[in-house]
Amino acid sequence: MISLVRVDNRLLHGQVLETWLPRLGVKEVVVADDEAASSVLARAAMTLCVPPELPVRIEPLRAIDFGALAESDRPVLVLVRDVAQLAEARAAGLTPARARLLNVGNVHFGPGRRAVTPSVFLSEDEIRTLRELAAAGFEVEARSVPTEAPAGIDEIERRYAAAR
Amino acid sequence: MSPARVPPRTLARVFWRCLFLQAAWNRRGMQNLGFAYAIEPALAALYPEPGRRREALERHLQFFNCHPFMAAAIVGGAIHHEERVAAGEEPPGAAIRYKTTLQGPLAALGDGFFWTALRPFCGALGAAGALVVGVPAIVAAVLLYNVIHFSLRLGLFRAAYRGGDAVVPVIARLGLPLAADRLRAAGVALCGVAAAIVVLRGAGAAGAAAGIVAALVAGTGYAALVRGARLLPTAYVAALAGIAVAVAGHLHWSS
Repeated sequence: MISLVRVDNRLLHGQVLETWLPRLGVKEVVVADDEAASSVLARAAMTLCVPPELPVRIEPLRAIDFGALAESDRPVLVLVRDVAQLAEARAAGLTPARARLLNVGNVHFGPGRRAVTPSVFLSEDEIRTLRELAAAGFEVEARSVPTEAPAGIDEIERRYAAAR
Repeated sequence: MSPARVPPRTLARVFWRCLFLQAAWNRRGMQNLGFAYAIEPALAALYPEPGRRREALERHLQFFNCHPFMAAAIVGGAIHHEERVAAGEEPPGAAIRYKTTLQGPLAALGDGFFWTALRPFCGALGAAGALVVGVPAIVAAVLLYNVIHFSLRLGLFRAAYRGGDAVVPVIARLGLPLAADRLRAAGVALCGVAAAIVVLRGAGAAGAAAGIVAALVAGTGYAALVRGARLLPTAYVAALAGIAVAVAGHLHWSS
């Protein structure tokens, strides 16, 4: 089963390993990222930072079989780099039945982006993508760690509109 | 053009500045200002021409966040790549690619090893030691923590400066996740020792009843944690219960 699909510009880091994995009882991490999959350095670094008993797969997004992940007994956490990759994942077979919850954890600031949480800065395009995903039946939330209160899609839009 | 190298004195300055990585932490770029400040002397040495220096500093102002100790490996490796960029051997983005690739995984390693293992272990060592030998144990625990983290920072900085991407296998050989597991177990054991010392001392000072009450309070707290109670509220309630029992016992026996 897919416990969580998370958007994180930094992909695998402390927040994921120290907070989400124990909270969700995740037994496998899948990093769905073309750039990381093609980088020897990224693969080596990601493999060494996880505990030995936790398998980590680093694959191009299009190579991920979301159906197989959803049917597996092992709870899986899927990491993608940005919001656009969520739409890609949907095109590659991610459905609300396979993974209900989409978490937006860390999206770094850039020109044209506005803060919706202290760690998530979104563009207008990304807000639109998230709204489409919510309309398609996914539960969309923004928060970096499980102890933070989640902001749902309506709250994300409200904060985006209120932010300068 | 001779191959660009950063002089050792400048490397020492960069390492010193790494210690202030989080001094200008901000939400938009997180440690970006600290990183740019740390690497700036090296960039000044590699790019004497103002235009290129400015360009180099600007690329190091982009978002950066890592564990502050593990970041030493990233600063060292970024200089390794910038030397090659300055010499025309690598494209200008080489150091940035190195930074963005390693910041997450090294942050995870650092959080796991330093924040959730070495620091609690040293704290437990200081607490248990203080019960036995007093203040010197606390000084020793603080020293131990700082000697370990400082030598790791220095070692990682040097290894990454020399080897660039080759620092990853060096870090792998340190076996930090396994060491973290062992330190966590040892820290838990030390906390148990500290608790036992408190119970025994209580029994010695105020009679067996006090010891039994202390053991009961600790046991109830432990049982609550095992059943999934949250750590801090449970610890506070247990401490308050212990104090209340101690005060009640004192009033009862002294009246």
